[in-house]
Amino acid sequence: MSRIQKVSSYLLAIFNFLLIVLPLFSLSIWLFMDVEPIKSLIAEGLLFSPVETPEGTINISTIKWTHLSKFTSFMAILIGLLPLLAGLFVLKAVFRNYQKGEIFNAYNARHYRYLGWIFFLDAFIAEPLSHALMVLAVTLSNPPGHRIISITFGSPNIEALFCGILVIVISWIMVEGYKLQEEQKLII
Amino acid sequence: MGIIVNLDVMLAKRKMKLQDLAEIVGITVQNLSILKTGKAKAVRFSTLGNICEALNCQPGDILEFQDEKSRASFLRN
Repeated sequence: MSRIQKVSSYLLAIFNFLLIVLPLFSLSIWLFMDVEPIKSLIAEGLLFSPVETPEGTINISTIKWTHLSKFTSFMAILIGLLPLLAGLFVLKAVFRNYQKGEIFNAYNARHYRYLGWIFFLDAFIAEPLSHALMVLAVTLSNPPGHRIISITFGSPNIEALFCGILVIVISWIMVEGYKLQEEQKLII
Repeated sequence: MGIIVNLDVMLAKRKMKLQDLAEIVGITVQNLSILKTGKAKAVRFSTLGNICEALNCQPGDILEFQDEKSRASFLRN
């Protein structure tokens, strides 16, 4: 039990760190994308992978950014990030309980179910919407008729869907564990 | 369920407090209270053995089976 509590404390610190750093990191990239060294990191493709559009792959560094396209792409990144941030909040709640030594309870089981739904939300809404906005952002400076908005459903969505199903099954197992623990309390 | 726990009767016969029994048996008063009030779902043989040893009695003195129907008619009369 103490091992779970110890590791939970470390994980809680990591979750807190990520919850602060991830949005700040995304925001700072879009604010300072014309400033070195961020500009050269984007040009080398280290910060962003090229965007797949129906007309081919577009490298972020080759785009002429306007304020509107910058804002649209930032929104795309933020929407893509939202399920991860929500997932981190849920994990924080669960691991705070683990830290206290409460493993099998209704609260944890319920939060695992939320985590599963967040994966579904990511697969069906956040990921396609984020990709559609990103494609729009990188083609926004194109002449009329070449601006694209596309919604895709591919392997990243299926991965998220699969993870969602797994986590929801885990939440059912947690409910069974909770029932067993409650029954164990009444065995004298 | 038709199992009646007569722990309070045995405690009264032996003039022993629940706290004292809990201490002798080595379980918490809360757990012993769950057993006394009939909320327990199961009793370990080891716990039952320790209680019998402490109260100098047989398991049948603590646990009793009563048919639901006969119990209901007993309560009516």
